[in-house]
Amino acid sequence: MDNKSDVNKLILNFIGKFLEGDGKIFSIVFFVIVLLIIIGIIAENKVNDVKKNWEIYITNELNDIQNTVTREFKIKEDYLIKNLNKLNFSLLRELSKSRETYKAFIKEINKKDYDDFSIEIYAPNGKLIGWNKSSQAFHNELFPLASLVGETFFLEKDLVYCFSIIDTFHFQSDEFYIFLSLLIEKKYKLHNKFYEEISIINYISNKIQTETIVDFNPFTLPSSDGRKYSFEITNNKNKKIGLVTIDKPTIKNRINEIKNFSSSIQSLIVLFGLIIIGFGLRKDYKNLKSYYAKFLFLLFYLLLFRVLLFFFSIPSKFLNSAITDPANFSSAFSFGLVKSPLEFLITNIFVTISALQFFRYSLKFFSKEKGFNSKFISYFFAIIILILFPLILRAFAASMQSVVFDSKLRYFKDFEILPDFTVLTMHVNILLLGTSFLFILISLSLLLKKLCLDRDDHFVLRDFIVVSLLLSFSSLSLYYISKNPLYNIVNLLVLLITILWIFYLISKQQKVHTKYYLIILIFASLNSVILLNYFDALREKESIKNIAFEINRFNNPLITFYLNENINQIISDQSERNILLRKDINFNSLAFIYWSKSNLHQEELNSFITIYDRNGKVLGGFKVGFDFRENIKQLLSKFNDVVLIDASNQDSLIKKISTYSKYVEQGATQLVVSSGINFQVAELGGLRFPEFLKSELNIINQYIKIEKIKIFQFRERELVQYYGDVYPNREQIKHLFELKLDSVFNDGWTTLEFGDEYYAAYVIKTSDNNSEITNVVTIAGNKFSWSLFNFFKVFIIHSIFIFIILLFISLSRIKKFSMSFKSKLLLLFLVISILPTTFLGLYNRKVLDERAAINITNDLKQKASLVENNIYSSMNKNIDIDESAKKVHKSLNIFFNLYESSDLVFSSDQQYYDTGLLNEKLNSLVYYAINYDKFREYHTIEKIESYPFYSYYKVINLNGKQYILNVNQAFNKSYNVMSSSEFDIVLFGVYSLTIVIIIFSSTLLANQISSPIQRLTKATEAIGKGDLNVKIEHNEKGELKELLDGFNKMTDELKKNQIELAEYERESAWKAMAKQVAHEIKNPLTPLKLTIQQLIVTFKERREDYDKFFEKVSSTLLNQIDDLNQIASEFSRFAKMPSLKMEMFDLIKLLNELSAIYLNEKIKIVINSDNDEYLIENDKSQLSRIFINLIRNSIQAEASSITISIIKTDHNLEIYIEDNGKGINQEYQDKIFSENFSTKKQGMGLGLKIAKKFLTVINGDIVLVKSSTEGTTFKIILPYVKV
Amino acid sequence: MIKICTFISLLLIYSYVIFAQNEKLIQNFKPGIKSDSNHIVMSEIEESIKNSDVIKLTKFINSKTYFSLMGNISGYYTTNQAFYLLEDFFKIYKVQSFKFSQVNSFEDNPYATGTLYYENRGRRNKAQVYISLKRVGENWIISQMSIN
Repeated sequence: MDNKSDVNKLILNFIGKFLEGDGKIFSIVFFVIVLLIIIGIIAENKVNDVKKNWEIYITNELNDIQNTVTREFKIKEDYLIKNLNKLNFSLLRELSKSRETYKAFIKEINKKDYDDFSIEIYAPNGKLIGWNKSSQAFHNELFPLASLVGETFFLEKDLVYCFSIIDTFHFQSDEFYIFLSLLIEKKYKLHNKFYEEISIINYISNKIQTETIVDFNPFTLPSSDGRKYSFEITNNKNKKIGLVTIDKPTIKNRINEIKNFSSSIQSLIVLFGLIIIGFGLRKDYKNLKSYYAKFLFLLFYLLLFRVLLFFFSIPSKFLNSAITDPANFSSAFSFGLVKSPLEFLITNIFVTISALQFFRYSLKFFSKEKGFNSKFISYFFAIIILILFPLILRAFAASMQSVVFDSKLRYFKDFEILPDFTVLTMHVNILLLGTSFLFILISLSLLLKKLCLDRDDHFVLRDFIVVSLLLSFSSLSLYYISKNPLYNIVNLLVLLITILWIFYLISKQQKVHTKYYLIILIFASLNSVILLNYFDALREKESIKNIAFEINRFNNPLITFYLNENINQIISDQSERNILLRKDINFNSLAFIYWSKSNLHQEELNSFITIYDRNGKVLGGFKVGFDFRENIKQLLSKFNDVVLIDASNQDSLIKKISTYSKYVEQGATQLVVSSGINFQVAELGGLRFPEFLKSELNIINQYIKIEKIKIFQFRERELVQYYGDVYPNREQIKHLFELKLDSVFNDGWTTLEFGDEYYAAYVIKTSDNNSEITNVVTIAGNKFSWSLFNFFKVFIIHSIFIFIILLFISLSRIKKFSMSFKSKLLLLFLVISILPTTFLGLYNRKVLDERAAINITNDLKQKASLVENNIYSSMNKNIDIDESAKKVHKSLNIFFNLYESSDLVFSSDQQYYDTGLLNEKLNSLVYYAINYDKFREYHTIEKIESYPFYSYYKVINLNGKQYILNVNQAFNKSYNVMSSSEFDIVLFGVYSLTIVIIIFSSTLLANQISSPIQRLTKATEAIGKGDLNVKIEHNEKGELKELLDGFNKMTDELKKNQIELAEYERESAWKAMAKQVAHEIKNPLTPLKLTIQQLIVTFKERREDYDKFFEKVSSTLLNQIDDLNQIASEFSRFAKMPSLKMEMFDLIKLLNELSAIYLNEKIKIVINSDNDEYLIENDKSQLSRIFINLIRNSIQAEASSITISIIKTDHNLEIYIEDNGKGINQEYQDKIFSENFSTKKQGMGLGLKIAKKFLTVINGDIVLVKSSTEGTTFKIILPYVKV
Repeated sequence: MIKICTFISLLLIYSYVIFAQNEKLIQNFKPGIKSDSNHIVMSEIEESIKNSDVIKLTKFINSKTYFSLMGNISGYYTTNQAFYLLEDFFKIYKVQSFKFSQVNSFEDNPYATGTLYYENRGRRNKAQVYISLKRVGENWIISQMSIN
């Protein structure tokens, strides 16, 4: 990791150095401009080239398209043949082991490997003997063969097209047939999550970016239209099996494509250039001293970058999905910069970076800069902040409101725990939005304090209270005077408390630890989620307005338009007309295809589409909730082209309208196409639609769970229709009609009570045929489990996102991964508590699922028994099976199917089998279980598209014949106490809360356990650095008490021993030295004595050479005295300070290391510096001792905070060590640097003396700046030369 | 002093962008046109669709307007959303010509239908348009807009 980061650093430095200097940046800008011009010229040349050589170009282009399309079909064909061979091989292997051939066939083809294929096995005589669970293309008879054996072909079925192959399989002299089909195209389309779109045509169209038509028919002729190009699809035997027709590329389109492509490249180059310029200016940006200039520069750069991204539509241009859809979010804010979830995310990232920088610079201004000299200006700006603060609070709420109201996404409507990508993007947006606002609001609080109460970095609780009161007052004032305050008082208070608490933490510390960023992120998430929940509840309430609009929207003109449009689309299209005239077509399937693609399905309308022959006899149709006429012979003579039949009931407001349109060719009616809509409030929201046919485009279900609402429709004050299981009593109706409505919109809100629940009710009045219509839509509030679920659903996603951010930051900062004792402890707690909790949750979920499955199966069993008994009773009355089944279905209202052997003989909802949506053949697994495993009953989960449902099969005997009765959940609502989604909601909510509590308590516990160990570690570290005054104060009990007391005792002993040792050493040294000195002094003393004695004798004897002798003796004496002086000097040198160990180190790093020693002491150490580092050459250990000594003195003077400020002067560094301790008495202040002076009981009085002595040696100094009862300030001067 | 002035100015700009901008757009989107005749309103709408003039079209739209547009767009949208949805819609489906073929000026439920010819991926095609109006106070707004 080290190597990697070093390489990165090297590369960055290289790029940085390369880009240094204005000249190079200018060169890059010039290069970018040249590149843009060159691309423009290339594009123009390319356009001219295309114009000039269009014929050659189009030929190549069409060849490419043909090759691409052919390749796609070839891939499908290869897949088909490969699996056929695989199946052949495995069948041969399995059949040779088995005694029962047919049984082995079914078992093998139902293996998971073949789920993509529809497989049928035919006996040598062409009879169907086996099919798999995905089978949908079979006939009971194989002959005549649909194609030659071994050749691939397109197989058209009622609702789908398949790529198929028939092959033979030889086993024990018998020749079986295998019919293998791969679904490639669905003719119908459903608008719900269960629909599995399979369309090779769409796939190819998207791939070649051209409208494509595929005729899965070998006999279709190429298009004669010169604007189109057709080519054949051939099979594995090189025979034509289909025809592809595409629109030929036009020169205009091609030129547009070239221009778009070149402009995309140019825009990317401009952005790249901007990035490079930004990179080049990185150093200049760092060198800027003014925060103000830095912030402006950054803001300008980010704004320019964002606007360019938007202008060039990057990255939206390259993506076409839900995250670029304005329906999912688009706000009027900033001219479209937030017009989709993706644009919102990009803007949010830029805003968050700006807000973060604003916060950082505000903090620096708060802690270091001097405020205004003029009080007037300070107060003026303080007032502006006081006005801005509540406005920005409101802006936060407005943004969150926009996130909910300007989006069709319903964040909490669905049960899904894991959201889709668009919702996930919006969740991240919400977090970023909250973080940005929190940064700005906290910054404003800091600025306000600085402006009003500039206290030279001292935290005073009174100041904090004053600022908090001012901010609260301004916020609450705006809340109470505002007509529409957006948030409620609880939201506002939560937000205010959050901001003020973080403001308190930061202003107390005077700086921001990384953990505060984490706190800001978490609280940004909490507040965003709270507001999101709040606005979502409001949105849900507002949504019921849309339901009221929906009821009013369906008037006669709209219904007529829908019906006519549907019929016109069928009859006016030549290709559809050709299909209608085909003899082999299944008209039920055709009607279903038309219905599925129409607004009848999209808007979940009770409706039908029917096709009649020229005599008015029904050929086929599809209906949901509205029956069509079986015969319209009488009606035919009454109209020429189109007739509209309105069977609506004006009194009950039920609308039943149908239209009939004749398709006339060569003067004769060929067919009649009919469509009808039955609209009534009581059946809103697709009540009559089976789950697999529901539409997500239905407005009512888009906004709200229909089960949560109740609707009442009044005509002239009389209740004519209602939706839901209750209706209002007289008093409530009276209340509804006495409600004062809005004069413009004629609507209003009120509350109704049903049972124990209160419902918000929206009332709107309209008129229809001169009658007053009143629609009342009501909704119940959310349950607690929902609120808990909603909250954690978003909060957990935010937490994961925050975790990822922190992980990235940590990984980029930490060079070597190591875990502290506390982290290990916390991790252990979390693992041993969360893992079992999670397993318990999963187990509970599994148990509940199993119980739910049992309940549903029991319910289906009961229904099956009821049906069986009733059919049995009916058949005893000599009614045939079909009639009996119909009668039983009608009387019991239970949907069921009856099979004889493997074929369907009766279904309560026959039309789904008639259309081909469901198979008339018995589920092959059920067939296997009943026929070969001799089961009498069988339950399984089946699927329609991807909609899963429980299905129960039972073998019954009726009049001596064996039938298989099937009752399933797809057509029979089988209610459980709670749905699996509701289980998820409760479990997720409860377990999320449990896990949060576990994390919280584990952190507390880990803190509690590790705290003494951490303090012990720090204290040991302090001792290691020479501070023996350290003492751990604690309230621990038990072993920890013994350990900490033992440590303190050990430190005391150590200190005592050190003092004794020092004294002993000093004494010994003095003794040795005295001995040595005495010895050294004695040496010159003897000659001195002798010389003087000799001089005296000479003087007494008055010798002639006295003068000469005197001169000699004097010289000797002086030499001896010099020797003595030298001895004295050497002695003095010996007593001097130890030699200096000079080294290069970062002073700030050293101070940080030293302050870390005192983390567990009741002292806060703040280091202020203009620079991030100060490299000095000095004796590190001596300096450490001085700082430790000063800090320890402050602690002993009962200081709670120490501020160390480093100021650089011309040649020195001035370090101010300022504490808020009880200070030094005035009388002692002059003596503190004297030797042996100490006010402490155990002090030697050497600390400050040594410090002074050391600093004097290195040409520095230490002085007492001030000392009073409010605190003491020392100044240390260190010589500094910038390295 | 310059520093703090700039900080505050930026904040003022920031809050302006949030509020004033919002206000401005809301004014731009202020729905409805005062007219006693829904026929005139229909002509204005016809002209807006013909020219793909989204700003003009959004004057007739509010949150009670139901949209059903090609490309699976259906539902009620705020004016902001409707603006960008229509802007995107007309970018994808370039209008070649448009005219109402039927205009019914019933006082209760006026509506009009027509055929819109458009170009998409260089291919000309057509879609059926249904517009119905609703009176809100003195103004007419679109209650449903279907282009399918």
